[in-house]
Order: sequence, then C-alpha cells, then structure tokens
Amino acid sequence: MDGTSHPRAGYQDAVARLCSTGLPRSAASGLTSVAVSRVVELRLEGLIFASDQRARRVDELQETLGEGPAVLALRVGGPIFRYDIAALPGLEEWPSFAREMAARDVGSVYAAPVQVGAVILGVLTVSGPEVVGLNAAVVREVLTVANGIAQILLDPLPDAPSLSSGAGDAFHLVVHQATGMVSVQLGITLEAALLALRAASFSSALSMSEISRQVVRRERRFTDGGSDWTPGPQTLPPTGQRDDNG
Amino acid sequence: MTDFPNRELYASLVYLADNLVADFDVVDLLNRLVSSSLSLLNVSAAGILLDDQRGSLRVLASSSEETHMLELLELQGSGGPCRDALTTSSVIEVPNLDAARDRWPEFVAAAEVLGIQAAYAVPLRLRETTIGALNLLCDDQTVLGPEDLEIARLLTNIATIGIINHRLTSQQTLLAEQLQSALNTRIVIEQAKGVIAERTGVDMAVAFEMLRTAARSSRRPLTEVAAEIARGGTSAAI
Repeated sequence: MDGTSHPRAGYQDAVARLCSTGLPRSAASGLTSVAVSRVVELRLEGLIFASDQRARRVDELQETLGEGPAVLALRVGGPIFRYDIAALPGLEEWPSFAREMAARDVGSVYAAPVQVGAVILGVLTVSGPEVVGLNAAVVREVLTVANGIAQILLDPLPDAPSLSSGAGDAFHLVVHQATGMVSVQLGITLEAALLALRAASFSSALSMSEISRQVVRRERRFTDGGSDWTPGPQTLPPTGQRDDNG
Repeated sequence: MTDFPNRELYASLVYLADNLVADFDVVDLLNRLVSSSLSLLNVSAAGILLDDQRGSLRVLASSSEETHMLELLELQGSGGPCRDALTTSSVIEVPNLDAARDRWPEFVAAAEVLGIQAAYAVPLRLRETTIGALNLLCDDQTVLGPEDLEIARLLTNIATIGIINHRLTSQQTLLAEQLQSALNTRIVIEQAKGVIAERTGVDMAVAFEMLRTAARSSRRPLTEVAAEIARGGTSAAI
C-alpha cells in the first residue's frame, strides 16, 4: 500500500475540531492562532488546518524561508517551546523569519512535531500577537493535541478519536518495534510501515499493539498483498530463523 | 577521604560521572545506570520510566531489552509502583507483590509471568517536579534496606541530571522539551531494534546489543546510529 498518501477524506475536519476545542489554555494565554502542517520526509508539505490569517502566514513563511520553530522542530525531532520572536536567539538564528514576523504582528511562535518517534507526520504551530511565555499546563495541552493529531492522521476510521483516549495505542513500544520490522518486510519508510500496521489493525479488528505483538513474535508478516497471519503457540518467542537478506 | 566503604558503588559513581561529562548519549548512560543498579542493589531487573505528560509512563532504559520486560515496565502507567511513586513523589516499597494483587491486579499478574515477586519504585525528582521513576524488580521476595534505598536515590539523581542535560546544544531549553526529546530517543531505538531484528533474524535483546556495538565501534552516539538505521540507512555491519 502507498502509506504516504493522505489517510482518508474527512481527517482535516477532525484535525480542525481537535485544534478548535483542545487548546483553551493556550488560547487564554495569548496563543490564539493554530496551524497544522503535513510533513513528508521531514519537509513541510502544506497546511492541514489554520485557525486564522496569522496562523496561515506563520506557516507559509516557515515553509518558504525554511526558517522558524516548525522547521527546527523537524530538524531536532522534538518540540520547540523556547522561542518568542522578540528574543535574541530566534533573531540570530532566523533573521528573515524574525523580521517578517515582527512586521506582521506576531510576537510568539511555538511548534511541536506530530510524531511517533522517528516518524514525523506533521507539525502543530501555535502563535500569538504578544510575547507569551509557556507554562507547564499549556505545554501539556499542546503536546496532548499533537498526540491527538498523530492519531487522527494514522486513523482510517471516519470518527475522530476523543482526547480522553489520547494515551494512544499507537504509542506502545511494541508498535515501534513492529514498525521497524514491517518497514524492512515491505521495503518502505517507517511512516508508511506505521500506516500499514494501522490499516491491518483496522481490517482485523485487533488493536495496533496486538497486531504488533504478532509481528514481533513473527506470527504475522507483511507482504505486498497485505499481511499474512500464521497462528502459532500463544507465547512463542521470536524464532530466530529468518531469510538471510541484510 | 581514605576509606570509601563500598568500592563497587564508588567505581560505579565515578564511571557514571565520567559519562556525564562532554558528549553523552542519554539512553546509553541510563542503560549503564540500570545495569549498575542490578549489581549494587542485588535486584534482578531495573528500568527507568518517564512521565510522558499525556497520562502514560514510557520506558527510557531497561536492564533487559526483551519485549515482555519492557511491556511490564510500561504497564505501570495504568497502575503499579511507578505510577504511585509519581503521584506521591515518594519511594514505593513492595517486598511481597502477592500482597498487592488487589491494588494492581494487571501489573501483579504480568510480573508473576516473568517471575517477579518484589518491586520498588524510586521517584526521579527535579526540584518540585517528579519526572519519572526508577523501578527495581526482584525474582524473590526481597526487602531493600535504608542503605539500599539511599543508593537507589543517588542513582535516580544521576539519572535526572542525565535526562535534563542531554541536549546541551540548545540555549535555554525547557524541561518539557528535554523530556519529550529523551522519550523520542527511546522510540527511535525501538524502531531501530525492529529494523535490525527483521534484517538479521535476531530477537529484540540481541538487536539492541548489535545496535550498541555498532555505535561503539563507530564511536558515535547510540541515538544517532539508531536514527540512521531506523530511517533505512545501513550502518556498519547491520
């Protein structure tokens, strides 16, 4: 399957809904603009959601200039919570971005990747007109929403996941191990492998961690035609015998 | 300073402190730390868990890279000694897990399968914040004395410093950034273990050893090599 295509129609609505309802503390602190960009192979690839004109401008500028917290978040593979536009580190590092932002009435920009480990599916950017510091509650909120967006982008089901289920089955460590294995089995990227696991979970009505345990126990193998499941003893350890490709 | 009562402890501390200087890899450091805790405290398994700020506990390091053990550690997010250590910010002592069956039915049942009979959790504290816990598991009913717990606390302090400082490159970094970045590091390692396991046919524990060997022989950080392998690059000998 082509895992890098957009997962399903309607996901944009789900992302919009989550961004509009999931960030009350962030908005109250002055970070009133929210944007979500799709990321493909560590590059910004266009907007999924923008709450307003400011959000759109911040995102477009980062994509065009290749500067800004969202770009840095992709480079370091983690959230960037320390930049306000007036602060010197930002100005030094991103001269054009900082200049443009200041001219466009943007005081703060923070970014968190929508990611599952090395797999980065998007970036969530919050911004506001004033210089705003982040407190722990806002940080938690932003990370929770980024998590929720990851689930939406992974989810082939039409209904959006609720924030209360935000712990996210996709984030169990056995899923990460299986993602690595499936990426080799199909010769695809980790992102595509993660989506393949999600699709197998959907079609078999097993959770992602259950599917992943089968993969790690080598009871399930992904091939071009889908995934083959070989029922084995329940507690079979990894067999250790595999093809000698390497 | 003539007599240090516990030579092994002294050697471990010097070793860990040496690792904290200059460029260090957080997962590598914490793995050394959990290994040290096995011999220093005479426990059979140890792990370090972090609060992911989204309601779950995530494994950062474990004395065993075997999937079942990692899952037992992580299971405590929904109830277990580590969850309690986080919420109460104090040491949780369960010398006999049998007695905790009603308290954490899922955790105790899973621990039993792996032959674990006693569990301890020591919070990782940074000033007023508790960021995670050191989990000590024993395959016998075991009482850890005050001296043991003192050593455990010392180890958690080193772990906390390691987690907070591992991304020194950035100027004023927030705690939340540090924690997220440490957690992601671990996820990338799991993905790389999967890639190696599939390419070479080994299990997850051996895959981790191969990853570590590859990092050491190329004198590069574990995390960097893991990310390269996870993204499909072929690193030395894997």
